[in-house]
Amino acid sequence: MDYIMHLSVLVGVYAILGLSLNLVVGYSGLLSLAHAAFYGVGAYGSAILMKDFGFSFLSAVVLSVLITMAVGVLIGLVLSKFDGDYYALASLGFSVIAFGVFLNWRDLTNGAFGIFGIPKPEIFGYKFLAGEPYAFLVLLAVIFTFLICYFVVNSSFGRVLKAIREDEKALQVFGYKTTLYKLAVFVISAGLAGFAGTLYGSYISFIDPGGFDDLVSVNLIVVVILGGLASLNGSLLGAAFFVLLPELLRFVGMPDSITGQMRQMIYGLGLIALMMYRPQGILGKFRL
Amino acid sequence: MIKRSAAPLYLFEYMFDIFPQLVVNSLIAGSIYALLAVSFNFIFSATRFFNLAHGSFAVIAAYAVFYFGRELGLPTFLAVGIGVLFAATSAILIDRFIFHPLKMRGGSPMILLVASLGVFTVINSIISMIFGSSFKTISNTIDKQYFELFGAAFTSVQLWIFILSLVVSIGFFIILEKTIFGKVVAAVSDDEEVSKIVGIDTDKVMAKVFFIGGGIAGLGGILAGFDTGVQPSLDMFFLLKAVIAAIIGGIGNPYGALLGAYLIGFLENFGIWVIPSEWKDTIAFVLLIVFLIFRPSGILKRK
Amino acid sequence: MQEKSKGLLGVIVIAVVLVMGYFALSGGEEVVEEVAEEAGPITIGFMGALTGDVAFIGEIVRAGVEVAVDELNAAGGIDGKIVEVIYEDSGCDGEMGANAANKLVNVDNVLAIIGPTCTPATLAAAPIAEEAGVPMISYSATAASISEAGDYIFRTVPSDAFQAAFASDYIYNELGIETAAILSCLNDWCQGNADTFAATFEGEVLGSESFEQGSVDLRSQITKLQALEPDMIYMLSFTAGSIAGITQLNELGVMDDTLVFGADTFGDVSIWNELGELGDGIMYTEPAGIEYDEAFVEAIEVVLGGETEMNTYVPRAYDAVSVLAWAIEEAGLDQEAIKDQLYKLDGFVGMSDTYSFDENGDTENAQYDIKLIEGGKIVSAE
Repeated sequence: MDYIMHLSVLVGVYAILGLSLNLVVGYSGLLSLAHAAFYGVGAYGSAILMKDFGFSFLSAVVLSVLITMAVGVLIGLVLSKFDGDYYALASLGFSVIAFGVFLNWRDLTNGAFGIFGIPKPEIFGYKFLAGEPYAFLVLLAVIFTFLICYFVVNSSFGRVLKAIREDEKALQVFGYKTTLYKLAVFVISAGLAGFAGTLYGSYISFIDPGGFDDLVSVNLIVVVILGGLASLNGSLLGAAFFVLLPELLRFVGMPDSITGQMRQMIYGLGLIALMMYRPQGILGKFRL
Repeated sequence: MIKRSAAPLYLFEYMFDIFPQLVVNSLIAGSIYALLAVSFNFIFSATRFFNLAHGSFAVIAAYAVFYFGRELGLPTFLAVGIGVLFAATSAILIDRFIFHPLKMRGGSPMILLVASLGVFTVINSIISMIFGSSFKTISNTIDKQYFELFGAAFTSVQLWIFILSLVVSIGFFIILEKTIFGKVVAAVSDDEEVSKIVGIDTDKVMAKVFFIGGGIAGLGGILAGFDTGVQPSLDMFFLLKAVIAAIIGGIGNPYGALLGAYLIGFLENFGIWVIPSEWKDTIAFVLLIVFLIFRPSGILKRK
Repeated sequence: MQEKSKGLLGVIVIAVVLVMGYFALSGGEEVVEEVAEEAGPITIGFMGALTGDVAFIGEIVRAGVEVAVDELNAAGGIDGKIVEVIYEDSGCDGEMGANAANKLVNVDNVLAIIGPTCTPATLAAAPIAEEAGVPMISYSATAASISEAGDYIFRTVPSDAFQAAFASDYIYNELGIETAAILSCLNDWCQGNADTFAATFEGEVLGSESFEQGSVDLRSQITKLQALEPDMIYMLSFTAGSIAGITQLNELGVMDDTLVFGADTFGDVSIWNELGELGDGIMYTEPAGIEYDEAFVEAIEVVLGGETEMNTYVPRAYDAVSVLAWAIEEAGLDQEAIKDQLYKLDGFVGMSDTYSFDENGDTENAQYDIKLIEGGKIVSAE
């Protein structure tokens, strides 16, 4: 049972990451490979605030998410000049740069050694240990994220986004400041990714730069596209699939030494097949 | 904390001694990047989407040389030839079975990019499964000789890398400028629709573009393998260098790709003279973003 | 969706969440660990890097543990009970380490864990093992920080804090070298050793350069260090960086007049197989090893189905199993008792070393061998 709780936590974290990334990729039509950077800033932010400055979990999360959103504003501003391929490339660049910072700013992040002993959340006197309590906490977080994304997507703000996605020039003609809209959704997405980071850090209680490198960004894109672009349920599906696939492979008896590579190969083939036959993803409603 | 080399101080003191060595190091790096960038630019100009599997062609060739050269013991130049052929063939097959059909279904450049991501992932996992992810060298079948020029040390292998890269690049440019094929490719790169109307078999041209581009990238991978070694994760490394060099030098301009490649080679090697070395891998990306902000078309204009 | 049904759905979701929350929070106490007290087999867990950068260590270590357990069982098991091992891949990664630990501790209910291989995996797994009271003995995780990772965390390999200090002392006092430079990869193992060396070296550290773990072009860094003309370079790198780096050190002429000295990652024989004689003259430290017992090596090769290159951690993993078996025999099947028993370990003669655990669960014996590369092979320098 506890192992199922453990997997649930991971699925939940990836669900938050997937949902938030879908806001940018699915609903704004921009292939952002910068998501790992925000995930990392959130994780490192709350870890440092809790360990070095003694913040409580709630305040560390809030502050960390705000910091992540601030970083999101900066990166988003630069990225707003790009489109399509160049956007993907530049965003990847930011993932690489963020990784470099996590790795080399030793004074702040402890560099390659990582930060361990990150405290578990203590909210109103209750300590959320691993297992059912943490899974519950993450479930709440996922619902919270889902609601936010749902409102973003189904509000008039969301309708403008979709319209921008279809024809940005037309909306600019109508006087909409499209750059601001895209920036706003990017920052929200970044904040949610940072939120996921804080949950992850406190759960595993150890983070290091390797958990937030450019490959993580690539994997997240796979999660979002597989599950379905512009479909919130799709991101939940993608997250579950991503976390559970290696378990399935192991269950089927695949030797440990190649489950990792098998998973990658299945994703790769899945992506190709999807692009060929269903480019919007399994549950998606938008084609790139 | 470790005492860091005090950069400004010995920048001037030692630079003079080490300058030739830095130049040599830069030229070697640039030569490898050049083949990767030129081939990337070539394919991109014709197809108009970012093929994220470009680095994979290079890695396929390098591992082919590993297998045929080291494992099976074939003579070096034969192994190299096979390697290049493997890369070129993979490229043309991937286009035939994945990219081309996708384009026919009306796939946008983004769809093609994501599909190429899938290809990249699959090739990486297959190579890791067959050969393992550990680092291997492929140059110990070659007799290395050591040279020194103006205080800069280099080996015969590196000399070959530099020469081969230059020869192939120049040969490639001659083909582009002087042959009919080159003009046809330019036409297709300019406007595929019009080319079709004029009667050019664009599909055949694309296939040839992939074949040649893949082969050149393969050679780049092989040379890099000779220089240091091979490991599956090099596919991302080759891809990123190729793309960044092509963009900085001027996307759509083959000479731009060459320029960008050597520029990155020089900046990386001279750059860490002033910046702490742990940031070396980040330099290229910072450069990229700077260029994308201020001069997205790159240094040289599109042809 | 209609507004009304959305509202209803929302109410249902909230209700479900509240109910779940009630059960989750009230059930938050520890489940009493029911380790097999009956005459069932003893289940222990193994964690190792079976994939990734250090899989070359993890795979053979796994075989070593298998051999150790087979021997135990052939001799009747522990107290008559057969020992079973569940193998998990910790990859040298925090998340994988946490996953594997969670599975071993919470699903498989293992009595104890041998492993993991790497520091990040150990640091991530430690809180899980600690909270559940599962003793964990690593055979190769050497970062200094692990000393504080928990009461239930032990290791049969000396902490990094000792290795670089030993090296700097040897280099300065035995070899009489006075100026050094450091070339280090950017991960916890490399940097831990680099930092310790810089802090303990009595001569002058002229400079230090580093490179990202996957990098294979170290020429710029080497050129920079070369300019400083150090007498020796302390080089910390894993296999890929070592092969590429040493090749480049040769090409740039550094090896002609500068000693290159490394640490136990140089124990990977595949490095020297690739380099041929290019590595001649290089020295490195290694946790005091042994002449690998022929029978042991053969047993390992049988398990792996082929020839293999031993590394210094394999016997230490074997010893970890022996130490654990000893503790179980003395203290029984209660995990807390086993943990207490482990702290009593004193002068235990294992295959690789003599072990005594200090109050942090670290082995007190920090002996190192100095190795030398000669004719493309590893030999002892003493």
